[in-house]
Amino acid sequence: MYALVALGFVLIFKASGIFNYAQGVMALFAAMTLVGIQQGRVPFGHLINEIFVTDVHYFGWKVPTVFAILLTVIVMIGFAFFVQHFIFRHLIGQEPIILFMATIGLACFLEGVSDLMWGSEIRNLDVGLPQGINDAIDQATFQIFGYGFFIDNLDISAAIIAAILVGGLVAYTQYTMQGRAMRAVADDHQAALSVGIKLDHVWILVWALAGIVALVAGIMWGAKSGVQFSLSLIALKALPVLMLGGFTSIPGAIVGGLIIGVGEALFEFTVGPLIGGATENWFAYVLALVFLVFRPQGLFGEKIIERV
Amino acid sequence: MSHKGTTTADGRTIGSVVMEMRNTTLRFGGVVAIRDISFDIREGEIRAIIEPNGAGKSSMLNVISGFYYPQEGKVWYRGQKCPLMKPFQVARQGIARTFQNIALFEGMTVLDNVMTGRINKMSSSFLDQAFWWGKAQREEVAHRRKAEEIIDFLQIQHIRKTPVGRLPYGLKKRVELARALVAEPSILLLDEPMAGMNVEETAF
Repeated sequence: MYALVALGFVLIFKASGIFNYAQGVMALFAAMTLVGIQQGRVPFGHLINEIFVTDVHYFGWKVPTVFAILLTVIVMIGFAFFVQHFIFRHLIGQEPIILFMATIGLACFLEGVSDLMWGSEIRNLDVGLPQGINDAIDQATFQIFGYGFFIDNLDISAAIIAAILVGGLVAYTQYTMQGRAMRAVADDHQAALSVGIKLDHVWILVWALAGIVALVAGIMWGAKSGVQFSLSLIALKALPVLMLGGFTSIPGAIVGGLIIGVGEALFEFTVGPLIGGATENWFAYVLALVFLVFRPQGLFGEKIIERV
Repeated sequence: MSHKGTTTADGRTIGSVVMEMRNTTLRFGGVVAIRDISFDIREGEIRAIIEPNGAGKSSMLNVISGFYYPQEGKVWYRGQKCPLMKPFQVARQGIARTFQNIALFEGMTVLDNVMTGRINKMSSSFLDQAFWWGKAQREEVAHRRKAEEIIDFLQIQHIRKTPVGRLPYGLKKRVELARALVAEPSILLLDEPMAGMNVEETAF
């Protein structure tokens, strides 16, 4: 599950050289938009009611899940256009640190907007994914090991969806012209321009893809723990995942996610009781710190080679 | 703009004017980098510009390829009297270039670098590519064939799959040339093509 959020980071980072701090908030925004559309809420309902002294909250229709997802994808693509047009178009050729600061600003802004647009209550997101303990695995593992493994159906579907997403994205960025253009832009703006790549288009594409990945992550997390503000904090947990897996590696994001997720749970279970519990809050970060010291590029990161 | 083709001693045919530069002046603050330059480039022509360091050779190439905007003057391609273009538009007009301080995509392989040179020849749509439908697939094969041709021509087959960042200077120069050639440009701008090359490489 962490891997899904981390994926969004890696994708944008690889394709535009920007470290996108707003990825978590984008997941929140996408999930809220999806729920809002599904339930037929009026966007900016509170604002409208305040200004015009009305009391509208719902359009009074329910949108089928598939349509709602499609509409949300369109919203996220629109968001990509917005971001490119108003922010990043003006920052072409700037230092990465400036672009990074811009994404922090974007994160704050988007947080406010999603609150304003859809309200801040916790919502349940139901997109019809299977939930609950998977009995088959429970039975099978009980017969083999003598213990039953409790694995949530939702986690299984998350893993499958993540695998499909990753496979698709890797193929897309590695073997198509647009993927190549994306990687070229990430590498060197000037050179990319000189072969005739339009930076605007590529960046919109990158942000739209990040938006879609954010939507998928938002759906999975939203279905698991409800759509709420803390969803955006999950993004912070993605940072240790990235340090572990390497900032530029898509498989790294997945493996890193698994290690952190499993390690966290095991550590809490084995060492937790000895030192008073609550290790889940810091375990990931300490692990990332250790990794930074001994292997700064992460498990799968690109080796830093420089010819002088 | 019609001009009768003449043939040079080594058999190249000089055709019509492809690009003209008219009274171009470029300043950086108080420094005048280019002062009132005008010239034509014709089809099939090889034009060398030799000047001392700091005379403005690279600045002029940068004006032609759209990286710098001159304060005065015009640059016309194939007689189109359009305003100054952005770098990617210039590239789409069929003008490819190399840089003095090599600008390659260091993290990508040689083959990928060369393939980026074909980006302007791409005509399949976003959806075609995203789902790898027929047209995108056929195109990719055609582009790949062309890229391999150029790679063979410049004798860099052995490093096809090597990330460019690992290559020595001379090979990088050749990869950059390959990326420019594969676009089948009508004008090829080479900024200091022989700088830093040894005798053997120069002869090549």
